Amino acid sequence: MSKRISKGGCHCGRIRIEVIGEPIASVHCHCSDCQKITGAAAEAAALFPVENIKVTKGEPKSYPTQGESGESLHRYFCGNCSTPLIGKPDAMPDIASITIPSLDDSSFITEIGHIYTDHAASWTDIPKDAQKFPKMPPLG
Amino acid sequence: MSSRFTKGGCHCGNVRIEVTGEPIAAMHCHCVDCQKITGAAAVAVALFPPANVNMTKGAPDTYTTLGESGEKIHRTFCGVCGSLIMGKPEAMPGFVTVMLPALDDSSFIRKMVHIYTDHIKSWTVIPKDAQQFRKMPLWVKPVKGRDT
Ligand SMILES: [Zn+2]
Ligand SMILES: [Zn+2]
Ligand SMILES: [Zn+2]
Ligand SMILES: [Zn+2]
Repeated sequence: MSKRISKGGCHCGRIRIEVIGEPIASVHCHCSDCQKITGAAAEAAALFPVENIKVTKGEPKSYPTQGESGESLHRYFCGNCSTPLIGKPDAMPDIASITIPSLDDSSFITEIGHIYTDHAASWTDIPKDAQKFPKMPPLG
Repeated sequence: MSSRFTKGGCHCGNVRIEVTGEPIAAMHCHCVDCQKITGAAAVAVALFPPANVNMTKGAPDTYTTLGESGEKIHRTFCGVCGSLIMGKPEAMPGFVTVMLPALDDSSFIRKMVHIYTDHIKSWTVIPKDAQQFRKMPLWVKPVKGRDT
């Protein structure tokens, strides 16, 4: 069986990425850090095994935030256009996340859950029947 | 009556802003550029008159995209932490957009509208009763050519 290869990158095109296979999970993350950095209600992220994510062009900037675990989450973004691309949590070294809109075609990802909804801002619209987790749910 | 005074800034603190008064409008913009640049379903912004938004600390970077009008939108972000902070659409010189999460406290903002919902992706669902506009609603469109 051949594996899906998804290409993606930032808005300006300086950084390109490739992702192999299907995501382990896809989430809208409403944590305060994701809100602040994206400028949105939640970051839309898909989790993959770390070895399935490759930067094929350019060099993203990195900025560490502190996850709830107390360990660092390294966030990679394009220094030219600000597009967030990849997140690597020290607490889970086997896993990395990509932002879903960085993919050229993200239509293989359908309905996704909402995490850290405890932190959702007053102006956030989450449908009533959406899958919600107040914090981070266990993976798998 | 004293008007509301709201402080804000980026995640790392290198850039700080101050906003005076109530927003003209607040919206989730689902346009393709906003999705890409935020890494999210939609950017969450409030519109203010330019005179009500001040940069009080730091020198953010700017990235320019082309709006549907064909005119430029200058998007301001912190080069250290990547936080999006503001947008200046040339087509609408009467507005500056401020990303709601850039505000230290945005809880005075409640219901928002959703715009450019034509561009919503397979992984985004908004509540059925949310107020939505397939493109940019008329009440925030530029009023250029009004006198001609
Ligand atoms: Zn870029
Ligand atoms: Zn998060
Ligand atoms: Zn910053
Ligand atoms: Zn937009």
